[in-house]
Amino acid sequence: MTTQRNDTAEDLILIERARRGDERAFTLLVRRYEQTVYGFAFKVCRNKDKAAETLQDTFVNVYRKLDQFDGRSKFSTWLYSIVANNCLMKHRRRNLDDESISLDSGFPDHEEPAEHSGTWNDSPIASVMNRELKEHLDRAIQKLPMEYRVVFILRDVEEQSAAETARVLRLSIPAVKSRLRRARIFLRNQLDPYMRK
Amino acid sequence: MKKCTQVLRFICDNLDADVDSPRCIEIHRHLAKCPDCSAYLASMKKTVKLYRNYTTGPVPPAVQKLLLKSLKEERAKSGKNLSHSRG
Repeated sequence: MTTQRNDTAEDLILIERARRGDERAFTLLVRRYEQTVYGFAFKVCRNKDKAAETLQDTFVNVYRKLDQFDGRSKFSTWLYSIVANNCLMKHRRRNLDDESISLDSGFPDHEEPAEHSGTWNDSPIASVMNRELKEHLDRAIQKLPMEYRVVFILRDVEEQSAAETARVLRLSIPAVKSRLRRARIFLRNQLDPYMRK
Repeated sequence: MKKCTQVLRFICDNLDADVDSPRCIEIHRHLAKCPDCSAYLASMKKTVKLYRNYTTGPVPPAVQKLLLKSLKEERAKSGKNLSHSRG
């Protein structure tokens, strides 16, 4: 918690210096958050090239809009919202992710957990991040509509709070919770046949 | 006594719920007696864990280089005169 507070204070100092034209302060901000942005973009896009492109777009945007950061939210929250918007916009504009199911077609309105679903294989092989498992994880999450994918990544993978996620995506907290529940069930069900082998 | 459907719904909503809440204690009691719900909870947690562990590694140096180049071009385009700090 203290570290977080120190990080926030240091961010504000760097942002202020960068606004006054300090190039080194801006570079320090980039260095500090490039991994967060790149990692988050990769988890959403599932593609290293797209993650690299998003990383560039994000920091160019940050550079252009640094004056608009009002300090009311954490700098990381602001960054997450730029990346999320970038990914959502690209996804809509270019229809990059052909495999994802449209919200209107195929993604169940009220997905419920299945009862008596059986036990997953708990052998070390099923947990080792090998190529086959990665392919299954990629395929499953690419089928998840982007609006749900971003919520799942922010909440469950990046471990942002429901309130923070709602702020990033400009959603209500109940909407975040509902999307998260459906995303969890969807992904779990997608992985189920592979994980029970 | 909770029904499995209620427990499963609770699990999907609250994977990281406060274990001391009365509702949570009731759920835990059910889970201890219901292998199906218990297996479902384990699979749900594993789904999250797998995605959490699937990372891409550090930003490649070539990507960092490209990023700095883009920012340099952006500075030139915008005409902002950023200077190096003395401190």
